[in-house]
Amino acid sequence: MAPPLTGLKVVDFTRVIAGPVAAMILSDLGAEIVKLEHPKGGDDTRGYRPPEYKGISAAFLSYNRGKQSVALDLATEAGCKAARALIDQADVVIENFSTGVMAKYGLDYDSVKRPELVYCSTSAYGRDGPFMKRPGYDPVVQAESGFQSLTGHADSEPVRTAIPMTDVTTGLNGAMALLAALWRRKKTGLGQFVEVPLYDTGLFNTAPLSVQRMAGGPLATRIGNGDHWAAPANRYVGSDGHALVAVADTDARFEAMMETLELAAPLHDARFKDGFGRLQNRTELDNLVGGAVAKEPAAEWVDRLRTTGVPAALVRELPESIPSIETSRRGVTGMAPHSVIDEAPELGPAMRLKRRGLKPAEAAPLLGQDGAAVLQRWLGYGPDELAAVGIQEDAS
Amino acid sequence: MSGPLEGLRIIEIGEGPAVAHAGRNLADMGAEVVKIEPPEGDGMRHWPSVEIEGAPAVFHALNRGKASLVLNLADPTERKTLAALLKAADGVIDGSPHGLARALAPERDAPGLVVARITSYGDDVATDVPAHDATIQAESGWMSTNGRGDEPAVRSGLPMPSQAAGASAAQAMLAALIAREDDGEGEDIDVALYDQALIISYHYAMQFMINGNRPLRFGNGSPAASPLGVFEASDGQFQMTAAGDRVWKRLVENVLEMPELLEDPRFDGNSARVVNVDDLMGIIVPLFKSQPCAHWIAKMQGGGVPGGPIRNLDEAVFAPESVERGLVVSAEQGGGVPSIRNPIRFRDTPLADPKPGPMLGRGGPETVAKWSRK
Repeated sequence: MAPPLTGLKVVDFTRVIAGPVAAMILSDLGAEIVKLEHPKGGDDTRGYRPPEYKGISAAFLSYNRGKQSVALDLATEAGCKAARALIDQADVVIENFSTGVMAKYGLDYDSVKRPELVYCSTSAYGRDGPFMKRPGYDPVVQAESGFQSLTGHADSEPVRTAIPMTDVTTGLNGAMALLAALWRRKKTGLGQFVEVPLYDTGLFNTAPLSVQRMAGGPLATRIGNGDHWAAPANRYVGSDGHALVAVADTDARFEAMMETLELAAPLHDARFKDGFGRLQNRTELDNLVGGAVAKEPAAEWVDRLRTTGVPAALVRELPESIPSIETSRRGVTGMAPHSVIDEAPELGPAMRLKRRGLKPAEAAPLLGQDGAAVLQRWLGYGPDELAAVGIQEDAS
Repeated sequence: MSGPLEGLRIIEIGEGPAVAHAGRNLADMGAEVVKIEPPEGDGMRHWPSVEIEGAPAVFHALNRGKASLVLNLADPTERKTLAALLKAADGVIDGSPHGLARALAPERDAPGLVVARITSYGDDVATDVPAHDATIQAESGWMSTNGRGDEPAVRSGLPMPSQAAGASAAQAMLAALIAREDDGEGEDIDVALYDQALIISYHYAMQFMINGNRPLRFGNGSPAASPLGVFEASDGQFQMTAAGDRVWKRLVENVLEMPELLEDPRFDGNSARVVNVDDLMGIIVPLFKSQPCAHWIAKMQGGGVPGGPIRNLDEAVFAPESVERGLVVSAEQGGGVPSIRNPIRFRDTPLADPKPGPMLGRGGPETVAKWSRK
């Protein structure tokens, strides 16, 4: 059986992270992705280097697996015409320009729509309303949406997640939106316009804590490596200086953790008898657990806690986790083939389909490497038409 | 119309935020989702979170719009009920430890069923290692990317790997259901929380895979661009991302109002600003401290410099960006429970207003009856 989206044609105008994540997921699931990039430099993430692998930046490699790259200057008549012709052949269009850019080129949904076309905009603050023109940046949206206020050590500043999680989750939502619209299309034959704004995603990400607040709960803020719904749950340091994270998120796990750490008193303390009480007295519990963990090496505690059913793990950095057994037994990382540079490092994808499988990974393309092939195959372009958009015919 | 997935029948089995997120995504988009719960209820019903409409607020946030069906799966009769329900469903999110859905509805009995397994370490890994989003954040290395270099790594306050894993499961399920329309075949999907957490380390992981260097933590800063990060005003902090020469020029002219900086060779180009970041901070830090946040944010937003307030949740919920777009749903609108609207907008199949999460056992029996009719 073939990957589920085999045969689906996607024209991808997106750059940076949010849009490219969405398109990469469709690619993994079998769709053919034609990524249109500006001939001068292409996607911004191509410039995020060092480091790079054989001329492709780490950032670009991370978000563009499995795509074909076509370099077109939309500001030229021939380039814009080619982009429009590609859209006319496509099932799906995805774009994340600032509001108004696609319309300027006559490539917005209302200009190009066909009944069966699914068109997704991952915008910053929406394609309508008073903020539609404001550009969106992950760090700013993490801050504005309240998301950043929830991460960081209590006695220090709120920190953004280093990986731009507002961008990433906007991309994840974009892929879900497209797939839901495509499922509907299967039933009705009709596509539609779908939109996933960055800001809306940022606020939605806070829902577990902001809904709790709106329902009359406490104002959640940053609590370091503590947990908003469990205590004791934190980062603790063993006698060897290594850190672990352990979580007692149920009564049974609390009892097991106390027994493992040989802390008898808390089990008889009325303040710790339920989750609310433990959460309220988290600092005292953290001090008790921290004191106990400090008596033995961290790895020793992780083994003992796990044996008794308590979630616990060593705090690892990527140089430890990437070569670890948890990663290698699943083949999460590796090398993917590349049609020009032979191969490049690969990370992911996050899902497996046992029957249909996923599209075999091909590492992210060089800028414009597929221009001639795609325009010949999709549009029947000959040498003159290719020359008009600044693309040379393939030697093959 | 309740969204593009109207007519889709999904069952949700298992504990934890990843499973709940997967089902919530599908329910928000209009699918009929039945959450199978043990007699004592889903674990999240016992989380310490303020109660509203008979359930903790966090349970509503992650389970809104679902129906609840209580089954004691130790009882053979009730297992049969679930087996029958699985045969009537299109898909099942299965976060049970040993794959209950396929045990009760093997491929030969339910060839068209799409099963999405969400486990801690992978469907093919035999392990009983207990896990939680926080331990997965730690073990995968994702947590190590967050925080300042002079402080220990810090997890995200929200369970982001779980949220991402829930999205991956929903995506794979929808893709399989699309293909099933053509070939009638079901699918077996495998999503692991650990894999997902490592994968969302994206370019940090890729950098290490390329150059072997231990990734550093930069907190709110960046080794590659300046000036950006969190800055102190006279009354609090704000975020500013002024990377790149175009934005730098706007910052100098429209916000700092110090055009002489454009002539200063120490700040000529992003690389120079990165090298001379201490000199740069020596100028802008005292200036920013002289006026309140609102002053600087108005200047940045009016002057084309990306920047904004670092809001707490109260401020974010009532922010103009949230209110203008109708993102916040009051208790009155939301059936007694406040919520945040799903960020996905479908022009032709709009989503219904969010509903509360179900009371234990509510809505499930009716759904069972309906599904068994056809």
